[in-house]
Parts: sequence; C-alpha cells; structure tokens
Amino acid sequence: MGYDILTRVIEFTESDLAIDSRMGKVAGLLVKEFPFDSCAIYAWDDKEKLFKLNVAAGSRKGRVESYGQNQGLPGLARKTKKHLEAYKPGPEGILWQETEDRGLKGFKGACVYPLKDRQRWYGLLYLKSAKKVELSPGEKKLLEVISRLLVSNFKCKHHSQSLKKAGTKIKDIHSRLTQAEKLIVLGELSATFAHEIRNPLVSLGGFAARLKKKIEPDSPFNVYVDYMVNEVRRLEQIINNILRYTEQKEAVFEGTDLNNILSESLAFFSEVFKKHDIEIVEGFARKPLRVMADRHQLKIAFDNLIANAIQSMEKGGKLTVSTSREKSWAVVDLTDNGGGIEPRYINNIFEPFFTTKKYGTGLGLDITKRIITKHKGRIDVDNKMGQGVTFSVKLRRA
Amino acid sequence: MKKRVLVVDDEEGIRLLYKEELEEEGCEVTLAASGEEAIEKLESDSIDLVLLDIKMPGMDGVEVLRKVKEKWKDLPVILCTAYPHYKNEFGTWASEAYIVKSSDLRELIDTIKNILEMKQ
Repeated sequence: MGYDILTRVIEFTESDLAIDSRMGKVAGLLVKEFPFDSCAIYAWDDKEKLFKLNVAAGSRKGRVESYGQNQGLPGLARKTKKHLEAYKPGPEGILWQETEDRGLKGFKGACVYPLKDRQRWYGLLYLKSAKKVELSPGEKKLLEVISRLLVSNFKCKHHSQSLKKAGTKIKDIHSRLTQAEKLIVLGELSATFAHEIRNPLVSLGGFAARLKKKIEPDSPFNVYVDYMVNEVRRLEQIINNILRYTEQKEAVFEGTDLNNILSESLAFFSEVFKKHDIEIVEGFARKPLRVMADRHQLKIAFDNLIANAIQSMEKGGKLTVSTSREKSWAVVDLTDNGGGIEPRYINNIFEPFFTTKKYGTGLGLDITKRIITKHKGRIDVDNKMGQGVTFSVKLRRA
Repeated sequence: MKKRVLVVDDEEGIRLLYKEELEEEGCEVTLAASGEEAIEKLESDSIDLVLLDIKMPGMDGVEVLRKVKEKWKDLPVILCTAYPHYKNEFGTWASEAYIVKSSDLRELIDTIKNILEMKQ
C-alpha cells in the first residue's frame, strides 16, 4: 500500500491546486488510508509562537485551533524536536497522562510529526485515533516521508508568499518611479511656467486691478473686471501649487500655536468666504495648542484644505473649524457641507494629479498629506455622501 | 522729497504696471529694461531703492545686485521674480527683500514703503 499512497501524495503536492488545498487533500488521504480518525496539519507562526490549524480532515472531535509552544502534544514535539506517539493505556501511557492536551479527549491514540528542516519549523502533522493503533515500521517510515513532502509544500507556500510580497514591492517602486519621472518633467515645466506664464499674468491681473480702481463703483463693467482679477489670481494659485510641489524644501520646525496658524489661514480667505456666502463656525481649543511645526508649510496644508472646502461650497455653505486635544495629539477638524465626495473617488483623493474639478492641478491634497506626514502627523477623511466632508489633522503636541 | 525707485525688468508690461502703481504711491520711477541699462541709470540718477528682476537676457539680476552692493553699498534692493526657488539663496544675501511676483501688488508696495520708511 505504501507506494500507492506515496504516489498519490506526490500527485497532490505537485498539483496545480492552491497549496493549502493540496495539504487538505493529503490530510484526507491519511485519514482514509491509515487507521486514524482525525488528521490535522498545523502551521508554525514564528511571530506569535503558535501552531495554528492550517487544514484538517476526519473527525471534528477535539479539533484545537491553535497550540502554544508549550501546549499539549504539539508543544512537547516542539520541545523534543522529535516525532511522538502516545497511547492510552499502554507503556507510553505516562506520556498521555502527563501531557495536558484538550485535543486528546475521546481518543486513545495519537502521533505527532514535526514538519521542520534544519533551519526552521514549518508546522506539524497531528494524527489521532479513537482506538489504540499500532503502526508498523513501514507505516511509520511512510508517514516520515509524507511529512517531508509536507515540509516541501510549506516551503513552497513561504516562497510564494515572499514572491507575492516582492511583487507588491516592485509595483510600489514602479509607481513611485513613474511618479518621480512625472515630477522631474513637472519640475522642468514649472520653471518655464513660472517665468513665461507668471510674468504676463502679473501684467494682466495687475492692470485689471488698476482698471478696477479707475472705473466707477456702480459701473456695469465692474463684473468683467472682477472676473479678470479673480481668474488671474486663480491661475497664479495653480502655478504656486505646481511650484510648491516640485520644490523639495526642508522643513524648519519650531514651537508654534496651531490655533494661531488656523486663524491666519481663515483670515487669508475672508474675502472669498464672503463672496461665496460661506459661514465660518470656529470652535477653537481655549488654550494655545502648541506643536512643533514648520509654520509656513502647515499654513500651506491648511490653506489647501480650506480651498478645497470652498470649492465644494461655491454656492454657499458652512465651514466648521475646530481644534482640540486628544491625549498627546493636537487635532484640527475641518467640516464642510458641500455634499461630500463620491465614494468611488475616496481612495484617490490624496493621489497626485487626481482631481474631480474642471480646473485644478490635483496637487492640493497630495501636498497637504506630504506636509502632515513630514510633521509625523496624520490626516483622515470622514466622507458623508450627500452631506459633506470632514478632514481631521492630528499633530503631536509639543 | 519724492523717493526715486528704479524698476529693472525686461518685460515691458511689468515695468509699466510697477511705474503706474508706484507713482500713485508717491514715488518717482525710473525704468530700465536690462541689467546694463540699470547700471547706467544708477550712475546718472540718484536712486533710493531698486526693484530688480532676476532672469533677464544679458546682465542678469544677480550680477546687477553684486555690482550695486559693490558700488552703492547702502542702496536697498528688492528682488522681484517669478521664481520662488531662489529665496534661500538670494533672500539673505545682500538684497533687502525677496518677493515672488504676483498680480496682487499689496505685498510689494508694503515692502517698498517699509524699506523706504526705515531708511529715513
């Protein structure tokens, strides 16, 4: 019978099935061909120091999900590094009685085969029977060989997992490289942008502003001039964003009050709030919220969040800005009621160049996230479709 | 007496815009379209402040700044450019201020006023 079983085990372990399914088939075969009622294959988790049930076949009785490194027969096998047999009663009865193993309840015989090589443990094979069984030397040898095949299978599993990890890493590196390439091109472009586009824009916007001063306040042309002034400012803002993005400036950290930075950011937008009929509700922590931060960069981060909120409420709305303490964190919550972000976009919003707006570089939130990350803080989004979005920024308190 | 500001920029639109705005603020404005012309004007006129672009064909703003600081040590210079990148390199070096060009002229005008007031 030995060779038949071995052939089938090899067929299973070499099949195209998923590795765990292959082992499941082997477990089923062992229950069928050997005088055992239950077969379980455990995987060794080196981090948690546990044998965890990987696959099982046969009786569900006494099935234990995991064994600690000193628990039950598996624990003993781990300690002695040997294969064990235990019977009740019998000459090996002492082992049975001295080993506390809740998995043995209802069984009269059990054996454990370590699944390991010289370097490491992969798991173990645990076979149990309701009756006392005595294995012939040939059967024992066969089980040893099968155990080795199982070890190969575990090795396969580990390798395929590390391959998968490597694959993910390569993908990640690839996407970063693509992004870096984009950045280099953008860096070169933005330098051209800065000079070739900013200069004419300054003239255009500057003269429009002068025109505004010259025409009567009630002239119908005011509308046109306002458009000119505002559109030029918007274009300038886009250039600033692109330039900031390509400018890899070192942060200069100093003790600073978060409330103060936010107030400045809000003041900066006061005219725009008025224009779009946006109500500001401030709920600042009463005492200053000290953080170690690059003031200039944090302001850019908040400016971007506020600008985003404004863009979602161009026809009016309410922006709630609050700061608070949460253990060792200083927290800023910015909530708009601009209807929220479509759920399918929510995972993309921090990606560079991603935008749902007709005009926009798609860099604002990416810049913000980079700045917050540089400050070892975090930024979370709470999106309520149909209502609005809350951006929460957490920074370590100084 | 009216303060005299020298505006150095190779873009005609910018020169005209700054001239009009500064005259409205009570300054007398002299224009130069290149670095070379700027040095000529500095030699011939008495100037209280220089508003200097960096990127210009021929003698660029950096060279002008170096020359100005050699010859007219106490003459304040404001670098006014389309690039924010060089702020760290030039901001603390020799010039009194570094301003990124914007169609919103408030920052520029305020800075000029502050520097001229401090000089008095």
